[in-house]
Amino acid sequence: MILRTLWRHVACNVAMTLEYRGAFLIYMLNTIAGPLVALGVWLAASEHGAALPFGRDQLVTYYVLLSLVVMLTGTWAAMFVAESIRTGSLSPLLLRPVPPILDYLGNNIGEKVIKLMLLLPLVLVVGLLFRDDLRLPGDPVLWLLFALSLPGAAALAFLLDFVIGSLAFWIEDVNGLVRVKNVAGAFLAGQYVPLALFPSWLDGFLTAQPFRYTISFPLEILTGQLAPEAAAQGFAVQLAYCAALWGCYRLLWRAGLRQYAAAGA
Amino acid sequence: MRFAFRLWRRFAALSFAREAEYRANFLVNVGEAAIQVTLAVLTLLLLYRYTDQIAGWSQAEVLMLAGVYRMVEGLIALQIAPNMLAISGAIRRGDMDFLLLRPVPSQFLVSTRLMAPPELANVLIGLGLAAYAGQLAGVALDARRLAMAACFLLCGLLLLYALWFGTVTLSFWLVQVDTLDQLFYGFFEAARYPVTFFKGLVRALLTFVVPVAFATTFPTEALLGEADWRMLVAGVGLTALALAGTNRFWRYAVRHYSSASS
Amino acid sequence: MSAIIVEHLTKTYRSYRREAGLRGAIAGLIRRETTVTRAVEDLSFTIEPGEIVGFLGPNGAGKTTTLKLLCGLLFPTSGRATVLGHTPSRREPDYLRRIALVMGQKSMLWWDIPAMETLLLHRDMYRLPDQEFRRTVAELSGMLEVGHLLGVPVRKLSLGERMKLELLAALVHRPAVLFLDEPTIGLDVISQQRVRDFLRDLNRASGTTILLTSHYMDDIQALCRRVLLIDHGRLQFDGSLAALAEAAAPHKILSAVFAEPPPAEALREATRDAVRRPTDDPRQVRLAVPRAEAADVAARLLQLGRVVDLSIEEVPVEEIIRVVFHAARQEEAQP
Repeated sequence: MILRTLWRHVACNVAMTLEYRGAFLIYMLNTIAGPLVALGVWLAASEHGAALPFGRDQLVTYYVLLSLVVMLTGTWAAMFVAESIRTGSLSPLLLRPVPPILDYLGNNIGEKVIKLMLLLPLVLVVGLLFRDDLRLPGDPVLWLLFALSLPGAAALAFLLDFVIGSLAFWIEDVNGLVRVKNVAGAFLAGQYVPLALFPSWLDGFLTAQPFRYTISFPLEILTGQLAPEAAAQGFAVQLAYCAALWGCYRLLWRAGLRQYAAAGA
Repeated sequence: MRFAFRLWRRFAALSFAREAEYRANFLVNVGEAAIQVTLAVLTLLLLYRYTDQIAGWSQAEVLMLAGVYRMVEGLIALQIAPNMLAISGAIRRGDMDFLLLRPVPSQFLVSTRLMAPPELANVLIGLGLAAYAGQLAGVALDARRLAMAACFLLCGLLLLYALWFGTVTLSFWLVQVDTLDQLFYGFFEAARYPVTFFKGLVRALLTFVVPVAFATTFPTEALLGEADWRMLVAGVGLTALALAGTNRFWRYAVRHYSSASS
Repeated sequence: MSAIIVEHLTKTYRSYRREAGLRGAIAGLIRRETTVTRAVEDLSFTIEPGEIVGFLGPNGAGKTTTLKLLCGLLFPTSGRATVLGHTPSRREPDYLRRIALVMGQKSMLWWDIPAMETLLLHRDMYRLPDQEFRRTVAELSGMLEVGHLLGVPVRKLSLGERMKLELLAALVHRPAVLFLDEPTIGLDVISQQRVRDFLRDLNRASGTTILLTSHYMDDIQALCRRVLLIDHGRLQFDGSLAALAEAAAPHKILSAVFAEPPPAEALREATRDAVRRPTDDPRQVRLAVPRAEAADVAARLLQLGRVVDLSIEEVPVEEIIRVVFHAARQEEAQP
């Protein structure tokens, strides 16, 4: 029943997003602009003699695919959850036989369906522009592993976002916190600079922290940077983070709803 | 002119009064600004780990540009963005009616009446970073360089305003113009770096079509003593044209305004 | 000189219709169906300084469009309007300084801060000398009884209090003409009353010409000696409410309550000139009587039995309006 409800939610959101496809097209253009600018800058750097541990081809591949991964693992639920808690509009959702998180999940997935359709052609165009340097792996196993890492990445990002938004049960204004997490998280996820280009003494920390598993991990797999053991380890850690965040969500909501009801919302 | 300045002061007073009602928000904004500039600097430090120079720009010089960028971003967010973002909503809700009936030139009113005081933090942080990096780069400041830089900066801000305002004026006819704002932010990203990092078509785009170069690269070059006089003249000319153009367009739009009926 | 002169004022809109869906969108690029909406058509009237005039009409009749044409917000398609000697649509600063607009459902006050801040903004926008400004604020806030609210953030005030402050803000530059669009909409009865009293006092004290549109008959009845009826963009009636009543409803409503239901034959005889109106109570008789006969019929009724209650009333204005519009629509329907 839960799955069917989720499916319905997704379908509704797909229809809604389709209505606003003009606006979403512009969001997608924006999504692709950032990585392109960064790519331009790093290519300029390498042309002027920068000795990068990355080959030019790995750099290009990373940034061309970056926007896809960013979009597929994107999440925006935090502010909406916080607002619905604050204004009390969460109440009608609580009367449904399914947990409210489904609403936000359906919205997340539904929008991504359309966004993917809009973004894919753009990425293809960019890919064609850089086809000389684009080095997509021929090994289908890598592609499979890449695909497998994406749901985990998206789930991790979504749950983290949702958990932070849920702090609104206790904190009046979480928007600042959400924005900080977004900016810092994007940085630590490798959205601006590939994590491999960070100083090596940070390697341990960077590989362990959760944000890596949302964007960098899938891309590391695809660009062949990971040895099989490292990849397996990565999957385990990703799963562990997801489980932990799920637990957090359950605990927070049990306590939070008690608080919410007590406030008489 | 004095009328305009006095009125602008009043606008600022109202925006600050409004901000005072939401004090906690102010602190959060300042905190955010601090984090953003830190990440920007870190990114540049990472970039320059691998090389001393990119397209003739040293690390200190690019940091200076980053400071100028932050300042420009702060100025836009402080004075320009709040107004641009409010226009299409005002048209849709009918608040535009009130604005058009004041004995104040409507383009001026609609473009300057709102401010976002917390963004002052960004302006000051940017200024600080630029000053610090300038020192590192061993920049010798003199009045001439400062004047040229200020001129470029003003041109850049006004050109970006003209572009944004021109697009927003379309909201009189189109409904979903809000999202075009998003596109500007995307382009504006490129202003973090010297325009010389980019080549050919992209560079031309960033100089003349979405004129971010005027806002960040040229002022920084001016401070470094490398400004191009011809660009300044071109910039001033372009700015005058652009502003005249937006005014024309705005007045045309307002004439054909059909005013949301109640 | 008249305050407002309107000659054959017309405003038409052109809008495009297309079919919904993708096919419609593509077809719409090639050929579009144009619909012409006549919002206001051939309006002509004159208003003298100091008058309070009400614009009455059903939704979409063109009242608000007329108001906006007179303010200068809309450009007329044809015809002319002259307000205080100016052409409104030119929106000259001198003109704008002499008028004010208040809209019932929209606010010009800044939401999060005290109304006083908005007033200071108006002072600077209209370039009012400070002394004069303070005097006007004191006077108006006294009349509206809002002096103690000036320092309170607007979002904390009730709807009635906010409307009073809207009026204050609109009048702080002492305009010669005040345009009001549905000013009492959404207000509770007491607030409505206060607003009407204020407008009446203002008109008496300062001679401000007031134009208002309203759905509420009470507004019109309480304030306006003159009424302009607008329907389908056309002026259907221009005159006093009393004249309207005479023209559209040449009868009065007579209502009598008997101690016991009167005998049917006698009742029929007594009320032969009148039209019976339905009532729930068998002891009550309601009649629509021609004005001239009202007294006679009343006398006859009193003969029929013991009368407990007797009243002679004007037809409710809503009904008059309905009659006028119905007649107008019928006229239009006829070829």
